[in-house]
Amino acid sequence: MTSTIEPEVGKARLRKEDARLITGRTRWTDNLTLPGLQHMAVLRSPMAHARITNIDTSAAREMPGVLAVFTGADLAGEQGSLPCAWPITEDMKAPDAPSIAVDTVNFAGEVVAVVVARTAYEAADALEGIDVDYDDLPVVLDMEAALVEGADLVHADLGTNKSATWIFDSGEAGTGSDVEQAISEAEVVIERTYRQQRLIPAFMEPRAIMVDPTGEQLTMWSATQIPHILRFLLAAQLGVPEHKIRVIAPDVGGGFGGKLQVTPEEFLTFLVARRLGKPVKYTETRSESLQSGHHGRDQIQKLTLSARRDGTVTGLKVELLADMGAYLRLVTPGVPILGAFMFNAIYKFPAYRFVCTNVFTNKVPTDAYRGAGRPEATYAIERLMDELAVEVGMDPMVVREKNWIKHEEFPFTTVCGLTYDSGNYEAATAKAMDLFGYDGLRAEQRERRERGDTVQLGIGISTFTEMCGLAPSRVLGSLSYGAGGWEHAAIRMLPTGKVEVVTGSSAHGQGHETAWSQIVADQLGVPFEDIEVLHGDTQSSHKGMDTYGSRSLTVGAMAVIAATDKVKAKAAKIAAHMMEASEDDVEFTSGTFRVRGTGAEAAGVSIQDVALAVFAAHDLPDGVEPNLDSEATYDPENFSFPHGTHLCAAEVDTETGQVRLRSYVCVDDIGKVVNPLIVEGQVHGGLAQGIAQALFEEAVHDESGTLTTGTLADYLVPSAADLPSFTTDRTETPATSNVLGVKGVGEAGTIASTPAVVNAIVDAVRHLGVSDIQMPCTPMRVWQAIQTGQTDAGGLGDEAGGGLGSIDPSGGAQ
Amino acid sequence: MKLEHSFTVPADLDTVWQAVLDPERVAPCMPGATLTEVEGDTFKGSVKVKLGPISLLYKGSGEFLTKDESSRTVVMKASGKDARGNGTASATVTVKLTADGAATNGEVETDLSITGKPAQFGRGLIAEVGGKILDTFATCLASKLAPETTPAQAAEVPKLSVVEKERSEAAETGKEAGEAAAAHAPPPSKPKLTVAGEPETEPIDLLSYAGPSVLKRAAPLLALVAAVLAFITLRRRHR
Repeated sequence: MTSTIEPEVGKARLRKEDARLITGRTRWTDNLTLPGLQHMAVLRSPMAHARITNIDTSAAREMPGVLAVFTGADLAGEQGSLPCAWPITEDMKAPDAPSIAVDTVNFAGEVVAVVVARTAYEAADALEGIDVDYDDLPVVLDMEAALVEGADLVHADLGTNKSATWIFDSGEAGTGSDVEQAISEAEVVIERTYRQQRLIPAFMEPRAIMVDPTGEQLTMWSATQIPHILRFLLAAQLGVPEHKIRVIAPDVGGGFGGKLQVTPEEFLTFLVARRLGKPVKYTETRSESLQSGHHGRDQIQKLTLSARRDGTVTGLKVELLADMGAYLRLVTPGVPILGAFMFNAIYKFPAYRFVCTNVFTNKVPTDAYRGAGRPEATYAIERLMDELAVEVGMDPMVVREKNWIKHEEFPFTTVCGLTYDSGNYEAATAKAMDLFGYDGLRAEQRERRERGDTVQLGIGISTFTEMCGLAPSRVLGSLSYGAGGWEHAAIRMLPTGKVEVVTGSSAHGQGHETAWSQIVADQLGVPFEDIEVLHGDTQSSHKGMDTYGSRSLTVGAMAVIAATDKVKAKAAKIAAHMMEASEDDVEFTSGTFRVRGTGAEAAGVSIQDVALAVFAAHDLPDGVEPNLDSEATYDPENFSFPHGTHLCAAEVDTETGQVRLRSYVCVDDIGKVVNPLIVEGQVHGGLAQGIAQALFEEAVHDESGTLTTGTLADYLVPSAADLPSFTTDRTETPATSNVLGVKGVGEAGTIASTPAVVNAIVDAVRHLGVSDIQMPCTPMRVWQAIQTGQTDAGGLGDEAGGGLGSIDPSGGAQ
Repeated sequence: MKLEHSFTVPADLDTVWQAVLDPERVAPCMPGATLTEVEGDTFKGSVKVKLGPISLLYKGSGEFLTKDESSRTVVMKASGKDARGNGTASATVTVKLTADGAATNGEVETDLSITGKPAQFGRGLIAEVGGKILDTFATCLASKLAPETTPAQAAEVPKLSVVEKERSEAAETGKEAGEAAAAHAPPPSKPKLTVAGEPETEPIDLLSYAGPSVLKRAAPLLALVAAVLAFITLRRRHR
């Protein structure tokens, strides 16, 4: 058992899943096929808001290979409504959400008809044979305009574009004082309006679905993050008995929240396959993915921060407008609410008020995207702390340090009522400043300013924390979320001593198989190689809440550990019997049971021996069943609160507006680390997506609601070449809320990096009269800001990062 | 999207006024347009548009909303949708004619709204393309209206204007070659055929019309293509 002498947890193991993923040996959903498989293609509305007056499918039905064509009218009776699991208020307005439009389309890209044919090509061709007549309806795109009295309505029957208003007030909640009073008595008041542009979770594998209705169970393969939730909701929304549905999520190529959804295409593939009694597959094109998969962010943040002249914060008021898009998808309304508890961040605000108004527009629905609510909050507060520093004439890091929770003050209950279990902001910051060479860069910045260099240097800080590990079920209940936040796991001890780990966490690229194997190897003292991790199939892993919100390790892995404890307890009884000792005298170390005090060399019974003995079951103690297998369901007592200090040095060419990230240093504290390689990967990917929001990405719609950034030539997802080399390091303050002392890391990089970059850009040109630049900070916007001092340079998303189709709507012709 | 353009036709106000009121005389001058039916103030027709790899056939109808003889202002509304469901387009066009000596000036205001693929990919071009389309339109109208010219000369008028167009663009042969290549477009002389009013309506190729506005975006991608094409052209010349 040499492999268990040195603990597996903490080892930089290469990911065991990568061999099959990288060599293309795995089968993604689109690779799967079945006898008699039919292919579905989807016709989408080019109109953002219109009444469907007529659909003529006769020509399409005549086309070669076409088996069937369905419109909304054909499926209206059985399609039910797509689910929204998070009614944030009693009186929340929620429109019926059909998977295929019946008489009205509410966003460009909404499904209006589907074709089923022998091949994907024939299906796609047949779409051209469908003739749809539309009557224009007024298109609602701007949130502020949508709320004006007498504004055009997205859903006339709702009588308003306002879905809900959600309020948290520390005064009313008794977790803090009254913010209005704080503001009225403040020596310094900072008022800002920031915009979180709409982003698209550009996961690598497009969404794909295959449904086989020919078995006893209808089986759905889907490139989803949430096979268990999907199964439950197919049953609940379509009235199919749950035990007659099996959902399989094979290897899934990324999600970032974009596959935390129950999609129209999943429902339609299911309905169509059931109707035809034949297996049907649908795989979206990249354009469809960008145009109709749910988007993220899209908020307008009105912020008021009050403080004393010495830089001490006294209050924070947040008024949000959140763009829902045309419908409420799975957790659409709740995404901004997840941010409600994070605006106060690591700072000791005595008073806090958060008001969020959810607004309907004729756009693709928004929903979870890496960070979901917390990046927006972190951006707002970290930008504000820089503004406060300028206002009171202090170094931005000093202002932060003055206000943040000191390491000796943990556990600390915030103005939102959350209890941060542990953290050490001083340690992470000290390490980051040292790696970054903070003082040296400040000196160079001064020197360049004095010299009037055309290339100015800026330094951006983000001392972030986040709440992840979703979530304690009681908390979700208090937020009227539609489900719990527990996770399930099971251990199967095989006769040969090998181990199967069944987990409800549904990996889609994170490396669960490797991490879970390392954890179980330590718990049971079996070799890393002897462990198989089973997930993503409701047949083998029948119970789960799936993967999102950085919850897998802090919730899912805790269930795994709880299950191994039960296995060990069962095995101890039998081992004692085998050694003819009393159970109380038996101890378990490195996979072997020994009689206490006999020393490590003494003969013992390995857990593999016990597994075999249980299989034979010839000689077991009385009343002991021949089975070591165990399962456990774990409900976390608290969120986990990773934190860190991110520092960005940006060079801004004042003549061209071009931004160059010169160095990026982040020191994250995510508690104990199971696998440093996997953590490194998560941090790098997270940084890339956060930096992308700051510099490149934006979903832009023209005035008729057409997405003009509908290709990857227009929607600028950065590659390694567009990013600097990251300097990453860690401090380790174990979480006290779980046995491993771990915290989530999946979203940290994305949450932290966006404000660091924008703070750096603004810092570089602030002496030129710039106090803000709208994201993404494209050369055009930065240049305009420098020239005009205009804080909303580039305007509210009338211009994307660039690319073939999206430079300037007027084509530069004025 | 609101667009404003103007054109001049070497014919007197009344002649031009009569012409713009007559779809059957106006339509053939609209690049890519075919008129299928005229009934009083309403007319039906189609417009072929080529946008790089995307070909659209807008079928639709239009009508004269107002014809104000006194102010010589005519307002047309036309709307159509692509036969293959790639998008819709609708426009309200206001044409105001004013006499300018022997010639007539036309102020054109267009309120255009488009959806679907053309909106996604072609938006940036439309302002510029619109103006160029109108030039072609005016040149063509001129050829039809210039009273005492013989058919032969009539044909000359647009030809000349196109030749000039070519000369101005010839300044950057490389680019032009690149542009044509990138757009998979017919050479810029194509619109000339339309102008000459051939029975078989050529599609209006937005990219070849757009010229610089496309190059502005595509230049980096096209540089290589252009160089290669230029090289080939040169070698051909040497033979």
